[in-house]
Amino acid sequence: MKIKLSGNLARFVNYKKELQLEGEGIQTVGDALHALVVSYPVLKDIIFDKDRNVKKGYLISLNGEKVDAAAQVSKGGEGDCLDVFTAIAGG
Amino acid sequence: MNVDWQGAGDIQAIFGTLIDKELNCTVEERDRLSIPISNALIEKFARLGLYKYNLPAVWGGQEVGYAQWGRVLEKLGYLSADLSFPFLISVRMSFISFLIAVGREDINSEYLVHLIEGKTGGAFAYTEDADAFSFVSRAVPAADGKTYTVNAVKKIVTGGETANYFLLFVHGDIADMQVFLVHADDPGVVVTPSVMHGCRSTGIACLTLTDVRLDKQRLLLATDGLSFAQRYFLNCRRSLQTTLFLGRARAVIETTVAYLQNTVRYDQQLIDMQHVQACIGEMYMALESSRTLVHYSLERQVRQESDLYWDAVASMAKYQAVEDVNKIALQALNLTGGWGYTESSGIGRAHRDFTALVAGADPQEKLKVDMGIRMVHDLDMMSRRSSKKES
Repeated sequence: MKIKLSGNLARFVNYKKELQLEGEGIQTVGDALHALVVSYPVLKDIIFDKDRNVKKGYLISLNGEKVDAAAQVSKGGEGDCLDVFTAIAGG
Repeated sequence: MNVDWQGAGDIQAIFGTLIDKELNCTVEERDRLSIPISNALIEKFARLGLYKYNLPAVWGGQEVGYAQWGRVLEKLGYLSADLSFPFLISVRMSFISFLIAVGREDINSEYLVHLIEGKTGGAFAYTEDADAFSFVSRAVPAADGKTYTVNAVKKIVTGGETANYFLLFVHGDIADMQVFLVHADDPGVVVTPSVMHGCRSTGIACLTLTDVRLDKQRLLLATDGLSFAQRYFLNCRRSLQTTLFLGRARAVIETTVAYLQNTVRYDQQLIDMQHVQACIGEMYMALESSRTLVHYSLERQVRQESDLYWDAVASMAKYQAVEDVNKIALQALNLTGGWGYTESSGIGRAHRDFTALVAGADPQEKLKVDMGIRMVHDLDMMSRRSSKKES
């Protein structure tokens, strides 16, 4: 599965355009994001709240379709592309 | 001034005496000395029902929603020569709305009644010299979890000088944003007034907290405070706050036309010269273009069609309003020359005040970046959907 973090999140993955995630047990978008933070621990508190739910301000898309964390991925995420996007403007 | 513009007469009928006597007659001195609009004055407006428009019915309000509230603010901007007043009112009202959205009964019963009555006021302590992921302000919980020690520096707090309370956005022990309610008189809290280029009577201040101990009851949001801030402070206010500037821009156009009608050059009234007429037409188009976009944006919010956390239309409405009100003020100065430059004309002050909108809710270049990456992202998503269908 490919994962792309854009907007303000790119800095947390050293501005890598695309990340590759191997995931045997990945069944949902939430599983994929939990697997991602194993490789990039700094993202844990950025993406997840204290109850380990995905924070609300992110725009998450699976293969271009807007989804939530419960959305099912293909078996093992094969051929899927997950995008996590955020835009935050100041006050 | 034509008080029937956009039905401003209804606001004039209720608040006109206060606006004329306590704001318009004293604006020059207040602006010159950067004197903030007092809570006592706001209380007088609150008593006449100014906060009622956008309050939920359960709190005695009319629940008119953002679109109608934006129109009230626009009329206030039109009628009040001191733009700081509607600006401050919009912040105070958003503070109340934020607390209501948090939904804590203990907090509501302790604070809301006096806030709604205008006896007290609140401000958002959000902005730092950093992006939201890099805030240095921190809250550290005590071992027993009953209190927090908070250190913070918030550089630009609109309405901070006269605020009794602050909504403080800090990082907790991890990189997660939390929101605390802070009292201006909590030990260790220092409010330092800042002198600004425009809107000088909003009482912009720097808020500093040094080892401030806060009871856990003051922690309003323990996690994901950033999303809450996006939804109930940053995003929902972005186009709303432009309305009062648009109202004042209309007043600037009217003032400019009145001057041009009474000024003769080369034996001709300035208003009869075609180039002058073209300039007025340009100002009119700029104003109405922005108004159309801003009110459309607010109506989308009411219809729940907008993105709650970052809405492109709200951001572009804010961007366009900034461009247009500043263009109108400069054009007015171009047309009125030395007279417009005098303090008593109000045009020079409007020129300064309108730059406040550049600074608030992100400057123009940042909004362009946000808009650009959003456009690229949306096209990427379209492309991915097509690719998936083909495979």
